Amino acid sequence: MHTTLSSEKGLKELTTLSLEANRTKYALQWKKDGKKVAGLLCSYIPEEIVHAAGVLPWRVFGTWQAGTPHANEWRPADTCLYCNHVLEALLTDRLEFLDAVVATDWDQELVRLWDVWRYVEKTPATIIIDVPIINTDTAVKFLAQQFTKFLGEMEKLAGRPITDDDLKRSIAVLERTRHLVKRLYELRNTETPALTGAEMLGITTAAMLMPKEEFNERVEALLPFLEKRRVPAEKSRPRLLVSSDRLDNPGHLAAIEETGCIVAMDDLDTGSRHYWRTIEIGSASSPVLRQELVSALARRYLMQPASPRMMNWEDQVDQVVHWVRDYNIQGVIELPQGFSRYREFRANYFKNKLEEAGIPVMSYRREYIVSNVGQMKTRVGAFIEMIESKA
Amino acid sequence: MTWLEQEIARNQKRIDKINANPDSTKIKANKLLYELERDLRIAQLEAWKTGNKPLINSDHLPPLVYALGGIGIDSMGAADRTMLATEYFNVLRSNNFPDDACDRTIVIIALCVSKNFPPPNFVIATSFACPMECVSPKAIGEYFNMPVFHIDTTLEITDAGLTYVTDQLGEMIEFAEAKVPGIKYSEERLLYALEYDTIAHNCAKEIHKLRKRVPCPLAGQDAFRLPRIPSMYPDPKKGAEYWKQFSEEMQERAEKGYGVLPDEKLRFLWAVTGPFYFNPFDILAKRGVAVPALQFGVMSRWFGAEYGLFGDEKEYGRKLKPLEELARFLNGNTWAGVGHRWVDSTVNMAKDLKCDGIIYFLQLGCSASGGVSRLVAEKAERELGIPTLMLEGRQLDPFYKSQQESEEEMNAFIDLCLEKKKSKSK
Ligand code: SF4
Repeated sequence: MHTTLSSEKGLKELTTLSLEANRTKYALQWKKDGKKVAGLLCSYIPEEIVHAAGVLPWRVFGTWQAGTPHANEWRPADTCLYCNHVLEALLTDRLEFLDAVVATDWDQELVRLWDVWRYVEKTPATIIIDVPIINTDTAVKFLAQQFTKFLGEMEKLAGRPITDDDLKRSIAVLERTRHLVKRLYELRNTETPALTGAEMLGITTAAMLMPKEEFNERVEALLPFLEKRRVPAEKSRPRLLVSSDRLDNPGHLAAIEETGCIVAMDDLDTGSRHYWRTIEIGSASSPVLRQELVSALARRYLMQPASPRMMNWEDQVDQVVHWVRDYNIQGVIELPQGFSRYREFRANYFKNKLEEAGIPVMSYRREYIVSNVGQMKTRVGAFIEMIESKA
Repeated sequence: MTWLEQEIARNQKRIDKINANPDSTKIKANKLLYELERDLRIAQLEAWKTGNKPLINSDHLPPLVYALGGIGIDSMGAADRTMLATEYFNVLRSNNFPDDACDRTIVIIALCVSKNFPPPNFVIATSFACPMECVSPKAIGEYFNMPVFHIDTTLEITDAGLTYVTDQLGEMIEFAEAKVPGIKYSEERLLYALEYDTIAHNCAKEIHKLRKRVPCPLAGQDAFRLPRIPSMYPDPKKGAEYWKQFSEEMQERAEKGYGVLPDEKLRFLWAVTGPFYFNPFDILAKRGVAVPALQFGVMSRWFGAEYGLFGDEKEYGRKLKPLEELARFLNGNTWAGVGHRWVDSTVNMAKDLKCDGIIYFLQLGCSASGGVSRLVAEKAERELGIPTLMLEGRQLDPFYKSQQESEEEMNAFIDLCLEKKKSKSK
């Protein structure tokens, strides 16, 4: 089996899983096996707790079709495009297999999506987690309380208690996923990376759509193949970093790379930000109490490389600067999704600070779906020219 | 002339006009209000020019700003008073700030960036109503390199949430004292501020009782006129005095059975916000429509329609400590919560005030209210049998939607409600 997985074909199976036609594959099989699926709307939801309940944590992406006529009947058009496309998928019955949907207050747009979801009663359980926008000790304590409540809700959904051992096992599985994904990121930190940015995003999103154990197994099998794989040298420069939120369609990155560059690193909540931070749990020798496990999870989620929804803007820029240096990046492309207000209000700060650090940066307001590719390519092309003229 | 100087002149002109030619048809308390506004702007200008006191943005926490010894800067409130914002959109675009977000939250950035309005020396960024109300002052603070402290509010009202926010307030005081020259917290000053804010709150509750009367003794403009909380002013005692006068005058009108409209045909609840570049109440008044209240995130609480503020012991089953009172206020904005808090309180308000319809202003970029507008409309129709007009617009941008277009929509809605009322009474 591993020979098939460890090949271009095995890679393609992962990188194309987020396509609309493919993304429900594992979830539907999971349901067929008599198990439950929870749709997750944000990267601040502790997948470990869902996993520990024996429920499949399945990240909800929106429809990649252009119009959102059904969603527009519920939400003004000038609102978060990701939320509009998700609601469209819900209202057109593409998400009817979900047993629960879990949101957070990533921003108010997401809360309002959850409000409508709850109201239309299409999913048996609708849960929301109140995630702080700050990451102080006080906030970690508050989030731990929220996670404890969420754990109770997952127990209810599963119809059984979650034991400490369940939780520890799930933490270990998720940590393995993070470890493997970070290994893939390392393979991109070379002169000729093993994967393009679009391929990498395909893999990071695939992990959100399939059972983690199977993902881990597939990536372990793929690694020997990827360690030898190289993107052609002529497509390996300049090296750019893309920064955005809720960007789940590798087509955006593919379009950028088609202009003659490589997205060698990302600052995405569907990419690096989601996998970077590991979990720290007490000392190895002493037994760990449930409360410590939950607190460790809360700390991990609040301390992960932050989305602009968090108020630690300085850390967010520092993280990007660190990645730029570490991955030998020549320029940063910010792709704010239309009406993503946290990022838009941070834009002035982000640009100024990166420029102060001597890092070229451009911004292009994108749609949720891949559209206006020509216009984007023109802008990116000009940016690349500017970078190369300075080199 | 900076924006503050213009405001000082404008308020002085109003005062002079009243002194020279008192108009008995107008509210007498207005004079006091204009004096308070003028004095606030003078204090802000002085602090900006001389640095005698730290300027702190205070849209959400006026009593605490007072207790810290600062002068409050009303970021969003000042933007509201610009009325016309067109010129500021260019400033935003050229500085890489969004120009299509809720205009009151971005115009203030442009006001500060163009040196027309003082940036605070210390920013308190809270998620009180919506993300924009948090990141707008934060963006200003970061732009001017001022210390910023963030306060995270909660989605639901719980004991844990109260403790969480109270703890943050304590941390904020420590932070401010350490980082901002001139800041020193005084509980005595907080109690003093709360004393006068409580007087205003009690007046607000009395006024709210009047809103229920038919005919309504308050004009639509009065419903929109939401006086500031007294501790926002340099002299909270005078601020409370204004509330008392205003409330007494409203009582007097009500006792005389003086309805503002000669023939009240309909009553509308106005929700969210409204266009500030023209007066939508003229057209409503002409057609005999009273607007007893403006419903927004803290309205129900401030007017005591649901749980109250400052001293209420029912909500948490005990008397709250001063900082807890502020935490209650911060968590009490229904906009910042899960949607049903806002939906329920809006429909309850419409019911309480015997409204025949709701005008729901779909403010461009308002994530707090836009995404649940249909939920409000459906609940109002289902439970009260009243329709809702979704009036799209932008508070400060006349080019987004013309007055004529808005008036046409309102007129059609009035026709519909009159028809509906007639068929109900048959
Ligand atoms: S109108 Fe809406 S978006 Fe604007 S400040 Fe108020 S709650 Fe926020």
